[in-house]
Amino acid sequence: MAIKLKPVDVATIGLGGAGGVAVLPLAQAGLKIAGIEAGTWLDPHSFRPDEINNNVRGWPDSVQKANREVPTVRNSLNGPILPRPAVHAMMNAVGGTTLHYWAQSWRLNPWDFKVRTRATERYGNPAIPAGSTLEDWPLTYDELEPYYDTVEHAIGVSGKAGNIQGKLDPLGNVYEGPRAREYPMPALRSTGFTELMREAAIRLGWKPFRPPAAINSEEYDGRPGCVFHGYCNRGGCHIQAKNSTAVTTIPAAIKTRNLTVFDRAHVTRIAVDANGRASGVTYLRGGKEYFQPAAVVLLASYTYENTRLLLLSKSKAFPKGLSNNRGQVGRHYFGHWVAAGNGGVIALFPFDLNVWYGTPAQGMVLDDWADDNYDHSGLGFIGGTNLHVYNEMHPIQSAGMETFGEPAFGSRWKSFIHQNAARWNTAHLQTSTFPYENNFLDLDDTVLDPLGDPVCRITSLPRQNELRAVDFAQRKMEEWYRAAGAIKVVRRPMNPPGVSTHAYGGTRMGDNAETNVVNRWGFSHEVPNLGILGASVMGTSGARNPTLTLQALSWRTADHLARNWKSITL
Amino acid sequence: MRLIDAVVNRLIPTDELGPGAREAGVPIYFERSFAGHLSGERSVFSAGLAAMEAAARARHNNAFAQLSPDQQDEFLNAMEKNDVSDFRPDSRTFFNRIRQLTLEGMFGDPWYGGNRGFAGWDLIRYPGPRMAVSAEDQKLREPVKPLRTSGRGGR
Repeated sequence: MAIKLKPVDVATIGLGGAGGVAVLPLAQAGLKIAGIEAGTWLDPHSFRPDEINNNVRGWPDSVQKANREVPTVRNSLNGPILPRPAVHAMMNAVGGTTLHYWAQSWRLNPWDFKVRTRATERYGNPAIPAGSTLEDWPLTYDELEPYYDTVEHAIGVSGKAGNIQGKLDPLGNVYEGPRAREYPMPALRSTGFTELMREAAIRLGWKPFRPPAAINSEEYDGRPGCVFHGYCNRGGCHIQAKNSTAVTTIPAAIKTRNLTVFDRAHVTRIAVDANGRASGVTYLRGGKEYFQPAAVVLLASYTYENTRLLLLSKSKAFPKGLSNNRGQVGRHYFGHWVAAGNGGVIALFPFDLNVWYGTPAQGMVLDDWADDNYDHSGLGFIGGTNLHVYNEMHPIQSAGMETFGEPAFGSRWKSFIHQNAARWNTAHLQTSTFPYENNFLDLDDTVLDPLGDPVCRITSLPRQNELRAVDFAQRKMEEWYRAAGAIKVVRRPMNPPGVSTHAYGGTRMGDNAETNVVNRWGFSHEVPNLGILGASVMGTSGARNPTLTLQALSWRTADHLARNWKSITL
Repeated sequence: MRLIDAVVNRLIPTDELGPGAREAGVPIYFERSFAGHLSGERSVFSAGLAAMEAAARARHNNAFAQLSPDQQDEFLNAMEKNDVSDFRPDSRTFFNRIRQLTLEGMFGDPWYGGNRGFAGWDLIRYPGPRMAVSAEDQKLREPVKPLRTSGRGGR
């Protein structure tokens, strides 16, 4: 029998990028929270500039729950399961993957919230990708703006505004939606390489700018500015200049004495009572099973685990899994089409770029080919791509470079990398991605985790709209590299995304309960005291990283809960 | 381990540009990895090595380590092109795995056993991990002074 704990107001499952933000407004409202986290606290003194530990092995000293539950992937409905990656892209810890993410903190652009309506208005109904289950979001950019603003200031985001209350500034992103005020910190400094790319973009008539990042460009909230040491990608920050929830909102929530963190706690099921309301959370910790009763449950693990935990939590009221009586859990899933590295554009320059150090968010980006910022007539796709070049290159990654037709080993290869390891670059191209029939998550009964539960299965098919959009973006990227002086450029074909760090859907947000799992406030249509946080509620991706958007949504859901406590918990 | 010695010695040979993978301790990286972090992969990897040895004997009637450098290179090229049978799943997959591990040993932190004397980092002109980086260290074209220290504190 599970050990029954003292009831709390709110049990959150996961204290990463989403749950780690939501706990702050809840705690400030005086609600008692049990923060249940599979991982544990990690010590910044243990964060080392070590490519093998961080990038190759994926932090083997951290709690390995995610690595034991890596989803399986197939690229066709009846096709075989592809080889699984050895390391899950996400990690278990207090702060979750915000400990080692790129910290790019983008707002979606207004178009991303209303793609179906806006694309139909401009190009007609046939522009909507065939087989897609695309819906407008139930809220607009303007409705989310105050929450973006709140989170940007609560965690600390550096950047340059391109649109303050309608006033455009070409040093920032002139395509962004209007924001109430400037970023709390200036953008991260530019480098020789990013200036080279900025000047080339301007010669092409494009509008480059420095991207926003949850990284301090100067002292903020008692923590220092970034020192650009070059192990930020999948590396923890040794000076706490990266604004993970582990050093921002979670400690602030603990200070209120309303948040108790239960670390190394592996949630196995969400329980419901006889009325079909969520009653609490069952978890394993130190070999014992516990039951944490709660008036409200907030599910805030990663996209794959959000769907899996719901599907595993079967009951009389929910025989197909929690909140799944309409069969929508796992639907409208999509992995972000991100062309990079061996599936992207790779360029070789005739001089040293010196991008060894810095951080990926210390980059140069442009939105001229993103969203609906250009006329798509006759192109055969909607959406677009944020083009992003950046700093930070690690030695193993660098030596593994594209050889542009040269041999891949031996003395000739040695001579090639001696000259060129400091001279190559690959861009990060994020393309708008949409949900489709037959792209979904479910359980894979043929692959079990150590507890005997099936892992999540990703079904992700090639999509013409995204393939065309990626190809278009790769050609633009080649143009940009060549304008900057690249002597060789290759464009590598991109396969459908597999296990992704940008995984969306499965518990989509929308007003229509027949096609969505959560309502416009992030609460289940079927289980009124179950909230769901994370990119799993997002119905479109935009052409940029999801974290700040899912954090703004998490803050909004938590704020809604605190304001409507009585009606939600009655 | 003689086979791994011989393979990494051809993948990254010692030449006028400096020490190769064998001299830089890359076989030690293999040994430590398969005794520790990669222990779960050990049997699959051993099967690959056995397939390689068997194919070398079938082609040349000799162990891979005993072949001439040209024969070894030709054999590795054939593996890379997926022209050697009896590998599971195929020879290219095994070639890519052994090459990737060689890169990890050669260009990873010397704390893991390879990259001895910072031979790998010097080869690609990587100036080494440092705790803080100035704008001067992020300029185009200008070489950055190599530090030659381990990111894990050792030397």
